[in-house]
Amino acid sequence: MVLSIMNDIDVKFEDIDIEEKKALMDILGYYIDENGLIYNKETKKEHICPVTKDVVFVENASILPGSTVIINTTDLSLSEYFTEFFEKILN
Amino acid sequence: MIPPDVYSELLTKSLPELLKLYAAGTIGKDAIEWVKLRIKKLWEKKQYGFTPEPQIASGLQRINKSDAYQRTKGCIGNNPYLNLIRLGLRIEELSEKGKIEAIANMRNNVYDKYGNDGIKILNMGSTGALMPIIQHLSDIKIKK
Repeated sequence: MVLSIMNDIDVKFEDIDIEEKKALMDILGYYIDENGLIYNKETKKEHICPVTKDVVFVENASILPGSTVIINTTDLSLSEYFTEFFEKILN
Repeated sequence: MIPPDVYSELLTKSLPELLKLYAAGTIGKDAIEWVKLRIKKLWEKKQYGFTPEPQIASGLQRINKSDAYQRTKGCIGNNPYLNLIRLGLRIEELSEKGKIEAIANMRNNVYDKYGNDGIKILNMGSTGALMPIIQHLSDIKIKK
């Protein structure tokens, strides 16, 4: 059952420009400081990447589905996202 | 109040198109509020992901659906090394295309986090050894 669901769902991955990324983050409850660092509006604290456990700069940020996951972007962190978050949102 | 023709047009727009409109701020106040809510609604559908590396993300998604990955997962279950198996399969693809620099970056990132064990798994991917191992594990599981 899970396998068939996984084969049916396709997330479209796209690159968007920084202003659009900022707009989406604004809507989702984040803001960006003058250095490009991402903060949580509610806690006013720096957003920490759930995969790399490091702060995230908007230029290198991936905003991914799964109750909004914002991570630093590398092959490895994207792969970890697929294991930790993507497969879970499909279940 | 949003004019009916503007409303009809907005309804046809995709999430990236709406983000572009919202970021540009060129539409009226009422429309902006509607667009904001529409963006939220579309985002919750989980149909889009935004990343500076869309090709990598799409490639990993494709691998996720592949028979090789699904069979591996079926054999070893939810294991932290699935991350590396997925990357190993990606390296196998990249090797065929001669993407040496991308492979080197990936190996560096994996070494930093997983050390030599991680590199060994990636090497299985880059040398084409991963697929026979997956096949073997899968066959053992089927026989049992």
